[in-house]
Amino acid sequence: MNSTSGSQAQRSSGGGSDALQALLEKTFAPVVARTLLMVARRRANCPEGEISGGVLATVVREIEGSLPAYLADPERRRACLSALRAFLGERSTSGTSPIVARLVPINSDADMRLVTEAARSCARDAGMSVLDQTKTMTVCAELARNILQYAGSGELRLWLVDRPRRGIGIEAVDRGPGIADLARVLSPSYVSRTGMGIGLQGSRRLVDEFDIESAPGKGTSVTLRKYA
Amino acid sequence: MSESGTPIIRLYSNLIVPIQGTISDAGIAGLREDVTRRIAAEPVRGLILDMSALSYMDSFVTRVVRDLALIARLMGVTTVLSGLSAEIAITITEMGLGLSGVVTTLNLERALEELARQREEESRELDIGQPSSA
Repeated sequence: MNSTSGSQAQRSSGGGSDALQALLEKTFAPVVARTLLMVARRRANCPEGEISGGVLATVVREIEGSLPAYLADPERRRACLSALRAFLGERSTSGTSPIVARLVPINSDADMRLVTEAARSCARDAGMSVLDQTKTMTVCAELARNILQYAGSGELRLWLVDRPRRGIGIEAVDRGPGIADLARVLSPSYVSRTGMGIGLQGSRRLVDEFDIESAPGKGTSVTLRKYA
Repeated sequence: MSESGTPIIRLYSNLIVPIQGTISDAGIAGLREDVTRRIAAEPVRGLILDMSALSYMDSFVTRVVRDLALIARLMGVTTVLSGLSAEIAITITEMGLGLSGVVTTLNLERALEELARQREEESRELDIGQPSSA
């Protein structure tokens, strides 16, 4: 369902997963190392496949978080922590952060969960605070609900940006009826029966850049940027 | 468990509804029906909507919550909203979405205390209104 595209999607140098496993095996038995890694990957929303650059930091952070539960000895814990930090530092300086794109098709209520989960993990990969993650999820939920309500179906695209600052780009596209009078819908005094104005105007306040294109019969495309 | 998929728990004379983050449009409509039916059928005085399982709240969920509180009030039941996270509170405020008129508390325990306190006040007012029998 979630497909990963992105013209410049780049693989992290070498297997991030294998390297982490090897690193953990210096401290833990192989089976414990595997469990630790598996749990961290699941928490980082990257349970399978290769770990890309942006997600790697999240996975390492999750491992660090669960270390106290696995390792009682503070000395060994410190050693393992510094090994993890060194590993991450090595990786992050080798090349720019990869551009990850996610595409979530929106066809029914059930897709709302995929939308907000994708939004959360993207925001997390961009290094956003929990508050900004919440805002990003909220904005994506608004956009997806508008699509479901007015166009029936469409899609949401998410990608990481690092210029001018780290953050994420969001685009919601549909081929629905479009909005005839954009200025009116976006004016603060506009309140639709269904509440679309509130959602769009609210979303605009939560992000750093907001752009909307629409024409009757041609669908609507909303493009946003939010920086960490 | 009700038809809407959202559990409604009765505790003393309160209904406690833990709002789930994954609730759908259909689920919301069902929930409204379930809550009003139980308010009408049972001796309920308070309604607690617990939001602590939510990781975000968009304009749709906000409106649903406000409507539910209004409907309950029209049926003589006080609604208390509990467990809104700081992140959600900040986000909905920045969006300009209000929950005015709805009493909110930090957590479920405070919500129960708030409803008990309100009920106590009401009964005290009733006592004053009637001539003492002594």
